[in-house]
Amino acid sequence: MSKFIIGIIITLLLVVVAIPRAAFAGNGDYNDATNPQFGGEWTNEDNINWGDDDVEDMYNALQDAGWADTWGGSFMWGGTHAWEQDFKYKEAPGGGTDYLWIDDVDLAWFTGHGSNWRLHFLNPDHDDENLHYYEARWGDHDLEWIMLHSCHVLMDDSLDLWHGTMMMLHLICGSKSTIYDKEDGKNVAKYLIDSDGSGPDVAYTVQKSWFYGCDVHQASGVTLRCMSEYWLYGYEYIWGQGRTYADVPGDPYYSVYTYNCS
Amino acid sequence: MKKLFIVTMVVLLVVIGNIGCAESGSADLSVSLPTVEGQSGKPEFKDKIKYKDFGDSIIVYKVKNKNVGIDDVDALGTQLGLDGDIGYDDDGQYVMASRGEKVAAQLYVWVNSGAMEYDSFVFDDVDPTDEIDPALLASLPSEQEAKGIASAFLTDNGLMPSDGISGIEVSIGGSVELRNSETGEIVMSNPTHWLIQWDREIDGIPVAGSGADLSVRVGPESTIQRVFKCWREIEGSYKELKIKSAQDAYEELINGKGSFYTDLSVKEVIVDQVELVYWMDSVDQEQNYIVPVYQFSGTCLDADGVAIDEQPFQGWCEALK
Repeated sequence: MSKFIIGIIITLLLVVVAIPRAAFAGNGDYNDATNPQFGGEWTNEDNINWGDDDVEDMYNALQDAGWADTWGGSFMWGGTHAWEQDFKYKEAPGGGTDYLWIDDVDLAWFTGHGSNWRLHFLNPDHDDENLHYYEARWGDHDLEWIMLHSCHVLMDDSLDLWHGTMMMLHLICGSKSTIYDKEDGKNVAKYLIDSDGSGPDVAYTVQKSWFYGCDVHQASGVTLRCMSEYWLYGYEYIWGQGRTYADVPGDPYYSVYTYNCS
Repeated sequence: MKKLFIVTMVVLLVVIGNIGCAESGSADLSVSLPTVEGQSGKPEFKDKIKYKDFGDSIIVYKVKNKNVGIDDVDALGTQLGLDGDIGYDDDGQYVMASRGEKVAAQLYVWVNSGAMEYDSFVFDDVDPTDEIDPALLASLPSEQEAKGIASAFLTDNGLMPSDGISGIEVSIGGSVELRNSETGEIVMSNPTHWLIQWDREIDGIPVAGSGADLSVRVGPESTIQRVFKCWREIEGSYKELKIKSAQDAYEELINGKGSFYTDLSVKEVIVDQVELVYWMDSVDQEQNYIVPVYQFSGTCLDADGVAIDEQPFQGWCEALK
């Protein structure tokens, strides 16, 4: 009998492991303050080594702080399981599923190659390898903050382009310059979260967490940026750590915060 | 008798082997050169370097590892005016904070490097009913005032290094812009803080790498926003070791043995400078030796031969033979 139960458990585990991608993420409850969710994807292509650590460190830290686990709607995909369509809106060319993935969580992270007009993915089949800025519409479903650990996404000439992706998204954090492959997810998470609400540390705003967390490892010459749809979002904290402000419809105006690493 | 002879020989061999290890085999003199997160192109390189003679050997130094403990953190935190508990995480990092109703300050200390970070900030320092970001209206102290404020903070808190400083740079550390995406116009802009950085040298050779950092950020109303210090102390010289020539290092660099990055848009790189630097690893890394690296810099050109100002070229190659 016990062998039978063990057999069933092993079979179930094998099925779960064998399925490369679940059919959904998030729980669509929008109870952001009580059940916030995190979604992270990485590619670890070419010379990138720390993408998986970035995402896993962020996931673990947020889960310790009470955010949802993978059963509750958070997710992590890496390598060829990181798909461009997860970031793309439904009606975009080729069809996207951001409403099930990136736009169905509260905080998102991407580590991979980038440039001023796109994010690059390894898998060419879902839907292709490049997410162009015009294929993204973030925040109209759930997403508040997205952190893009990629080179040159927020250059001077691409700010207006990426502003077009902000459909009630609060903040895009990225880099104007090259950004080095470092274990930054862990540090950013430390700043985002006050570990126990009263103990030895305090939480920082999302913007400061991105700047200070990355600056621990990034060298002089690296220029980080955060784009804010509404200036108040530059001063808000993630859910559960301080003040977070309501979504507001976008307009042509937006704020850009720039930080030069030391 | 024969057995005794064999045992004696084995013991002698083991002892000699261990001595050999301690002298040379155990020293890890490798460095972690940077890699970046962009797809690197395969540009053509042009060598426009006026090569200097860096000699054929250099002293490798041993780092004085400090074994930072909770008492050290407590002393530093108290000196900085913090009164909270001290926490420690598995990554080898202490944290201590002080939180008031409106202001807070926080100290991080990394055990592996002795590096420290001090941040101070104001909670809820914005009024949601304001129509405009207060950072767009805030004014900073003058450049000279900021430099003086930063220097005084380091000196008063025992954080100013006693030697090795080769220069001070003052620059704008950050800014805020209000933009209009329909017109492409920057409607308003304002600097958010000054960044004051102290350069370091050892034996007249510059120190570089992400672990070479002594900096202070001074914001509006002369507030110290952030202090970062990673200044590994030297225990003494380890050995004088042979280095490759800068020309050989350049050849290695362009043949993929060093580390550099150029965006896909870069078609040509003009390398015009090379420096021999001592390399400092990240703050969370235990570094036992300070070793030299060749640091190359230059200009990236696009397909039309136009310099890409936002992408200055930098590359690195280990210098030890």
